[in-house]
Amino acid sequence: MKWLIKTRTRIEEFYLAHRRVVNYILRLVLLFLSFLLVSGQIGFQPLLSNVWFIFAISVLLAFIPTRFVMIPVLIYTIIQVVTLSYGLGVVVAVILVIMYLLYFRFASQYGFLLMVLPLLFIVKGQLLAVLLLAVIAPATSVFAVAFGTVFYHLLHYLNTHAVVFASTTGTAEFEKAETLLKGVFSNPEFLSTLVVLIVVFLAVHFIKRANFSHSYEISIAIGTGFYIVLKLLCDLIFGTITTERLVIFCISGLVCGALAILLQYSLKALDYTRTETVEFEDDEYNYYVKAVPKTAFKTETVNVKRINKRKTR
Amino acid sequence: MLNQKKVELMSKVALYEHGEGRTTLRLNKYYKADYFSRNLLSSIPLGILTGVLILAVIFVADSEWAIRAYMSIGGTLSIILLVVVFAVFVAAYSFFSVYMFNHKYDHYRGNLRMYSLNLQRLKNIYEEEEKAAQELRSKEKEHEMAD
Repeated sequence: MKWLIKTRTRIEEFYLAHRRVVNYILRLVLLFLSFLLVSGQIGFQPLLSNVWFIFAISVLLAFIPTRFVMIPVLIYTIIQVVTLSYGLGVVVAVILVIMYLLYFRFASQYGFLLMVLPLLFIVKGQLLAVLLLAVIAPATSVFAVAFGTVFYHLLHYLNTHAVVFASTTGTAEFEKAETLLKGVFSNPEFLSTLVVLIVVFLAVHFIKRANFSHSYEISIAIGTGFYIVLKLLCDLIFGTITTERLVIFCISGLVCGALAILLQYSLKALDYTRTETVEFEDDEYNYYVKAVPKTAFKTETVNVKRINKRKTR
Repeated sequence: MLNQKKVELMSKVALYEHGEGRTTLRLNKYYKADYFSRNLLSSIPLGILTGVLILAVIFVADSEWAIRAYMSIGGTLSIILLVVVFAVFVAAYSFFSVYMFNHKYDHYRGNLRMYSLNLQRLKNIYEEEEKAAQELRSKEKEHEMAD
């Protein structure tokens, strides 16, 4: 694992040297992919769905600080939905405002997750984000997981039922909004995914806080196992199990678990072999301290300076 | 000659002021209790707004169920129930927002303390430099008087 930590150190050094440029590029990529995802799912406005237009607005909006970067994507989503139907646009806007008021108002630094999670859902890699968040972020970020899941399923439902919404001309906007809300929030696939991801998040988060060696890696492994078993159980309960789905759960779950362990190790590598335990006391308390050192390697920048040149005959 | 320690401290202070400090230095104006009460006050109307929006979404999602529930429970009782649930929700929202802001305050407070410490060190360096300069000036004056 030395190479991993060395690579991390190199990336860290590179990031510190070019922080502004790297941050800008990361925001640009995130915005571009998110706009592409939204336009791919609900691209009802032709001009806004043009790739070059998306690229141009991503280049412009990438200057926005990371904590506000989700706002343009949400506005873009609302505009696309309004093109389909005003009623649906209002409902989507209200749901997004509720999400903001319930969580992102307090933790705007996690706002980008509302864009990352739907992207990962597309490649069936949502578990990766959940595992990493559970290990690194505070327990309240479970709301980010829940709202990311809601946002993706909202987009997905609008995409799959766009023809129905567009063809029902003359139908009251209220009925369209009712169909959308019922369709999303009573969908067994959505409910099972939401419950499974929240349970996995909480399980991983509380196991990693336990006081034993390799708790981070073990919690991720247990979370991966939980995910596969719970998904299987949900499919059995709702009768939606197929061989293809089973294979996808297992493979995506295992790949996400392995990637999460690798990423976690590169982000927070702990050397349990050099663990130290100290016990001391003061007037009020007795302290039991367990210190686990972080593994770190300095990149070798060897500069050989020859003082005496060797004479050649 | 440049004082390396002073340059280091100045860089740290400037980096903080241009980065995280842009948002966190505002916290320095408040005591913890003031910060809480300010956020609690803003959370109550926002909690009410969130509750209203959630109720609206529930009503739109299943208006038939909402009307049936209203009819079966009865007018006055259903309104009392609604008000109680609403009050519990607003209280829970306010509690959650206080918890989140408390967490945020403690997190940023640590970095602010480090920033203040660096400022104090910088001030000490300036004072030492000023003292050294004064001593030098007084010595020069003494020399001039002796001449």
